[in-house]
Amino acid sequence: MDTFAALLHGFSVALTPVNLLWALVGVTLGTGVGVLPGIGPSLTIAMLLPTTHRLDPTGAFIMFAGIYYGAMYGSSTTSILMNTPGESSSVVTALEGNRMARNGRGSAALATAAIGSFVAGTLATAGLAFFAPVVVEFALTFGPAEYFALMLVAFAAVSAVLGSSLTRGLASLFLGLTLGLIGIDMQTGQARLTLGLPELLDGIEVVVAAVGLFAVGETLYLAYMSAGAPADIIPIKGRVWMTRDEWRRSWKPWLRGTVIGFPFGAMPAGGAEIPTFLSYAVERKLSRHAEQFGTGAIEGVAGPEAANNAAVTGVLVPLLTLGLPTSATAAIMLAAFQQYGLNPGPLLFEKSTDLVWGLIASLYVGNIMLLLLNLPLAGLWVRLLAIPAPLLYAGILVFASLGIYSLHGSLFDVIVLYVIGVIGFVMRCADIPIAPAIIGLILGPQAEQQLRRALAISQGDVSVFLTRPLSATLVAIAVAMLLLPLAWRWYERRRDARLAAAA
Amino acid sequence: MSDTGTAASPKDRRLSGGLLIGLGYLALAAFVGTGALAIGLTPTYSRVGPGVFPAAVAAGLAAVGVALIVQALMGRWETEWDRADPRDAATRRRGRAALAWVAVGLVLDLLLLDAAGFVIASAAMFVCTAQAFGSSNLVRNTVLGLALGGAIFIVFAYALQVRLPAGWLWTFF
Repeated sequence: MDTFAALLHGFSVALTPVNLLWALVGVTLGTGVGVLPGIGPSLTIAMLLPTTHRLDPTGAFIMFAGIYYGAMYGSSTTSILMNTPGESSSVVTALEGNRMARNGRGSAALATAAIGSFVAGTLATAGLAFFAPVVVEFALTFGPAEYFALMLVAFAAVSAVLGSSLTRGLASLFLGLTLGLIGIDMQTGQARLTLGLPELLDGIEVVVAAVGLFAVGETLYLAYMSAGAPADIIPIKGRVWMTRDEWRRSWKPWLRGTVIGFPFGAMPAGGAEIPTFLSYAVERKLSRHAEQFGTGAIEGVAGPEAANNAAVTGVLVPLLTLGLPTSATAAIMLAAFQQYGLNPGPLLFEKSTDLVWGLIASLYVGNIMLLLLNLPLAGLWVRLLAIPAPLLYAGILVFASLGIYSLHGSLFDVIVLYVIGVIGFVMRCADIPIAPAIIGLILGPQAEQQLRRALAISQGDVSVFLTRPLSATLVAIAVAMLLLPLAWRWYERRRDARLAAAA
Repeated sequence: MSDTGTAASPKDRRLSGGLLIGLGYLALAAFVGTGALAIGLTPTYSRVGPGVFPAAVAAGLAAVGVALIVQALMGRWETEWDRADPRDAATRRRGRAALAWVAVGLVLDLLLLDAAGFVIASAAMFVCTAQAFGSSNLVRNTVLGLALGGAIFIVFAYALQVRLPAGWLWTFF
C-alpha cells in the first residue's frame, strides 16, 4: 500500500462519527488541561492517560492525538497571557508573546500562535506521513545492535540537551534507569531491586513516575517556594485575530519555523527546545523590525510556535517507526502504546495499519478542530487561568492521585506516586531536569533487552557494536554528544586563561 | 535541607544541599551494585545474565555521584536550599509549613482512601493543599473538595465504569 492510499484509508478511519467524537473530546480536554498554569503537555497527557484505558486502541489513540496537540495549543495560551511556560519549548513564546500581551497585542499573539501551530502542525503531519514509511523501510534492516546504539544516542541527547548541565542530565537519566531496573527481569525471571515487596515485581509504571515527578513534585515545590500567588493574567481585548500587516509579518516565520522544527523533532536526538531557540534567532536576524525583539515582535512568537509544533510532530517519526521517544511527552505516548500491548516500531506499520494511519489522519483532523476551538473560544479558555492557585493545585493533586489509583485500583501505586513526588521535589529544588529520568525509565529495560539480544547473537562479543557500520556510527554520535560539550568547555577555559595571561 | 532555620552561611548550606544529593547517588550506586553482585555477573544459560545491566547502571550512578559532589564542592551547582536566600526567616518558615500541609494532605489521602472512600479522602487532601497555598476558607474548601470528589466519583462510576472506593459515605445512599 503506498503512502497516499494508506493516508486515505487513515482518513476513512478518522472520519467515522465515533472517532471524530474522540478527537473532539481529546482536543477539548487537551486544551482545557494544557491551559492550566503549571501543567505542560507531558503532564496533561500523563494525567489523562488513565481515563483512556477502557477505549479500543484506535479510538484511544485518536483521542490521544487530540490531547497531544490540544495541550500544545493550551500551553501557548498560558505562556502568552501569564508568562508561565509549561515546558521549556514554550520559553521563547512566553518571552516574546507575553511582551506583546503587555503592549495590548495579546489577541494578535494568540492568533499567530494558533494559526502558526495549525500551519506547522499540518505541514509537519504531511512530513510525518511521507517520511515515516521511508524510515520504516530502513528500520526493518536494524538488528539489536543498531537498536541499542540508537538508544545510546537518545540517552546522550536527552541528558546533554535537556536542562542546564550535562552532569545533572545524566543524574536524572541514571535515576530513571535505576527505576527501570525494578521488577522481574523479562528473560530470566530474576527479581531485581524489589526490596522484597511483591507489589514491585511488575516494576514502576512510566505514568506513575511522570505524574509523580511533574504533578506531585511541582506542587510540593511551589508550596515550598510560597509561589501561591499566580502571575498576573493579562486580559485580551476584542477578537483573537490579526491585522493585514501582522499576517504579512507572520507567514514566513511560520514556514521557516516548520522547516527548522520538523527535522529536529524527526531526528532521534529530538527535543523541541533547540529548534524554538534557533527559530527565534533566525527571525531576529531576518526581521526588519529587529529592534522590536525582546519587546514584543510578532515574528518572535510566530516562528518559535511553528517550530515547536513542527518539532513535536516530528518527534512522532522516531516514536512510531523505531519506538524511540525523545521527549517526556513522547515517552508517555510510548507508555500508552504499551498499555495496549502495542510496540511501536516498523512492525506496527504492518500489523496495525488502521491504528497508525488513523492516528496520522486524526492529527490533521485535530489541527482543524483546534483552530476552530481556539480562535473564537480563546476568551473562554482564558477564564480557566483565573482559577485561584490554592484550588488549582489542590485539584491537580486530587486528579493526579485519582488517575494513578484508577490505573489498577491499587493503593500501593499511590504510595509510589507520592514517594516519587518527593524525589521530584528534590530534583526541582536542585535544578535536575525531569525528562531524562522518564526517558531512562521507559527506554532502560528496552535497551537492556536489545543489548542482551545483540550479545547473544554475537556470542558475547562486545565488538559487535563497533564492527557493524551503522551501529558504530550511532555509538560515535552518542559519545560525541557527551564529550563535545566537555571539550568545548575545556577549550573555552583555556582560551579565557590565555586571554587573561595576555592582558 | 537545614532544619535549624538559623542563617547559615551560603557555604555551609551548599554542603547540606548538593553534597547530600551526591552522597545519595553514591548510596544508591552501592545499593544497586550489591544487588547486581548478589545476582551474579557470570553468564548462566543466557549470554548476558540479569546482573550485568544493573552493574553498569550502578557504575553510572557512582560516576554521577562523584561528579555531583565535585560540582557541589566547587560551588558550580546551586540548589534551592543553597541560594543566598533573600527571603527572610519568616518566609522560609512559611515555605516549610506549606510543605508540611501538602504532606499531611498526601498522608491523609493514603489513610482515608480505602477506609473512608475516595470522596472523603480527596476532600481532605483538597483542603490541606489549598491550606498550603494560603487559602484557609475551611468551609468553602471542604464543600469544593467534596463536590469535586463526588463529581469525579459519579463520572468514573457511570461514564467510565470504574468503581472508586465508596467508603461509608455512600452507604447512606
